[in-house]
Amino acid sequence: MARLSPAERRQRIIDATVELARDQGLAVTTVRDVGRQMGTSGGLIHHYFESMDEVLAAAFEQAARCDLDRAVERIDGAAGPLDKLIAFIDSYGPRDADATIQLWLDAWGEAARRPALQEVSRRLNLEWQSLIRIIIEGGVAGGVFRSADPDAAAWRLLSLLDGLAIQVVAHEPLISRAQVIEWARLAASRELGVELDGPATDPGESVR
Amino acid sequence: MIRPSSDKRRAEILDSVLRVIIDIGYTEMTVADVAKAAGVSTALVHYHFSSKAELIAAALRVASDEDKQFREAIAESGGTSLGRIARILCESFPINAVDGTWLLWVESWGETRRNEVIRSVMADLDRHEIAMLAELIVAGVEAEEFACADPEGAATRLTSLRDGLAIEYTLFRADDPPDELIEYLRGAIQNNLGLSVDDYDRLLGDSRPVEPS
Repeated sequence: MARLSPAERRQRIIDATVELARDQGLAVTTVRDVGRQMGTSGGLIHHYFESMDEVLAAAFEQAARCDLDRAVERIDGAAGPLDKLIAFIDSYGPRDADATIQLWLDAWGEAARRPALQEVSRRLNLEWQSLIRIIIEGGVAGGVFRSADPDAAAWRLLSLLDGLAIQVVAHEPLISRAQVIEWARLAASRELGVELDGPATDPGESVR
Repeated sequence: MIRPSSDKRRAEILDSVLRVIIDIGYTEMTVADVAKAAGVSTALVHYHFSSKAELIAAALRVASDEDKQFREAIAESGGTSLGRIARILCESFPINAVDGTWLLWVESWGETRRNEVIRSVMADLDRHEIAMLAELIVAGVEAEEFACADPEGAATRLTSLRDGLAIEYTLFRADDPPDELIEYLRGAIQNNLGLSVDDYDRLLGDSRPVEPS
């Protein structure tokens, strides 16, 4: 390997792990796999990370945070609570949706056994929840939305999208992605007393 | 000493499989792990099941059948349609950290793309619940308990939302009682069936979901 700073080496390990995890799954990715992928030994990896759990957690966080950052950017660019709400629903997930949803399912499956993955998935989940809660609170303050309990409304919307994402990934073709967006909009309309009509801005794609 | 019958042995092995899936995970578990958990020899496990894949499929079907029977019993019980809908959704919620069922489902969803058998069992389980709830919603609309233009859509949304909340509870909040999340679920039932809190309580009558203790 070329001469790299410790931070760069660490980053390369994470990048290699993300690539492997997307390809073969998070749970089965081992130190040895990552070493082979990088053309180096497992010892190097252990020099930068205490355990494989930590490597997997860092890899999952990097992949999942990409989606979150993209959503934040889109929501920040939207004017007003209604457009922000639509942006949230449409971007609760990446363009390359499938791969990241599978990573989320892998992370959830491993969370009960690997504390580092549990910690990261919990933290990211809370960040997504506060993202939508803040939009709802803003809309209520501005008189655009009606909600007696924005926190509960946010959990309902997030949980609906999570559950529908499972339906799409695990049970395709039971429901389509366009259907998920339509149902999430319908749920948000009822939840917040607004109309969210019109076609999804990104039909057929956006599921976490 | 009384030797357990072959069927009983088989059932015991299948019980252990579920525990091993939860504790070790689909990918890393071995037939030897199952034998150890069941307190039998690996050879005996192989006598009943030819492969790890067959072992997993049989165990998952047992869990799935139990889940279906739990719902069927509620659907066939008395009371309003709303009462039965609320019971199916709320009583399927994990009640504590010891309840392994949801860990099994979470684990299984992750495998659906890598394992065709797991995929078909999980999809079948989902369809079963959605069909049952949709039927109850139709019955409730006919009985003028509530209005719903799209029973199947509402059923799918409600099971999905329950799944999302159950994951949140199972993975991140299982140390506390699930009261708050079940409250969110009730709100979703009201939203989907266009019911006020008062109407919801009135219709629930005696068929109130059992509160987790």
